[in-house]
Amino acid sequence: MLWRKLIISLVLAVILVSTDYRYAVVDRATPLVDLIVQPIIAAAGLSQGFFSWIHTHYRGVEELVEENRMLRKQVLEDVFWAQSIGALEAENRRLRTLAQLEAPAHSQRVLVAEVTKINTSAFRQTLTINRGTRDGTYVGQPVLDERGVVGQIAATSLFQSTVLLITDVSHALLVRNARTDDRYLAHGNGQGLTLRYVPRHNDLKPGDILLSSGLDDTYPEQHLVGKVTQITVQPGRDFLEADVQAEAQLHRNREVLLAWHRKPAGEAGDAD
Amino acid sequence: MRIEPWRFYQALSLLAAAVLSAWPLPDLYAPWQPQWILMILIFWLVAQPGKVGFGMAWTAGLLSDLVAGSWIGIHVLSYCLIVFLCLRFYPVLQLSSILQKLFPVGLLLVLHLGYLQLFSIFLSDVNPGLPYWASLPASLLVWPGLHYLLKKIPSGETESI
Repeated sequence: MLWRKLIISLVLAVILVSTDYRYAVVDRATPLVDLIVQPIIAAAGLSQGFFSWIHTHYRGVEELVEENRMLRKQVLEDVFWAQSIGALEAENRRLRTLAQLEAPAHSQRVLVAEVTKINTSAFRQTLTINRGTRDGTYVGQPVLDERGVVGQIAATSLFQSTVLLITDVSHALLVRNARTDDRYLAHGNGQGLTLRYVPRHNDLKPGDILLSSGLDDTYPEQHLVGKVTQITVQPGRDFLEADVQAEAQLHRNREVLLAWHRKPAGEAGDAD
Repeated sequence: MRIEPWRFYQALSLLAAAVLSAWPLPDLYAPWQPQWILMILIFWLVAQPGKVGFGMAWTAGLLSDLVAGSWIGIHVLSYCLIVFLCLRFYPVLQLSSILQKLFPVGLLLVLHLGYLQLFSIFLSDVNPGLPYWASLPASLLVWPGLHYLLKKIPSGETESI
């Protein structure tokens, strides 16, 4: 009896795994899955929020003053850089008009989102953020931080969204080498990114900086993706493989930026 | 049909375990997340021998899959095997002291974690590596607390044997 139950269960489970693996039957964006999972994540986030609220209430004044001083310094530095960026952008636009090129498409709007959960299990690398369709998010929306590309929104509900990190195994994006302008496809590998199928004699060196190319219609161009750390050439193979370390602080972020890069497919008017 | 009151606690504890496993930990400590749902499953297998079986394995498994975001069915497979082992060799789990119970529980945990790692390597080509095993001591640390609760819960008719 026990054996029979076990075998029936195992067979059913194997069928379930293989169909989900092969056909992705259970789409994480389904409202039903959302209905079960979101309250659980929300409850965990809420209780964590409660503890951090207690923590902030019992922090010493000196600590806060110190933090305030640090933040002021940071803001001053940032303003300085922002000013120089404004000047550079103006110069760039002038040069582009001189060269009669079209101005690069910039993200029209950004929104800060708070990270409520970080999932770095081997199966899936995601963040959960506190912005949803209520704020105009859409599936495929690029997510950035102050350093570079974080990932894209994989599922979105009314109040929350799940961000698929660029290091997730099911993620890939088109990148451009800042030094040589060569383009590669960067796959996530669970820890960082990998460039596969790079021709053997390609001019790729450790330390090369990779930017988003803007060709995949998902990410805005010219944002930092990562740095090439190691190149492996296997004898007898036509391609080399390169390991890339992501530039964005994927697992350490408290806040990320949502960018409205293009209008969501099928919807109009929401994006600007 | 009357639902026994412990069923209510069972559902509640499973939900609590799901919330705990969704609890955000700082990056450095993330591997130290105990296998809450599995521990609760083992707890009920010990607390209500013969009354908890594959039904709970499926519920707990599907819940784990959804919370972990893994392929649906992966945790179900492992939990079904664990339930089978617990039911088949249930006298081992009825040993009285904490330390005596800790051994079979640890064995089940090793089985579960090893199995998940194998799946991760084969299906998604990712080896989570050694830090991933931090979950094993973390889960074992939870056990004494559960063992304490075990004595608080009347375990039904099997008690009198």
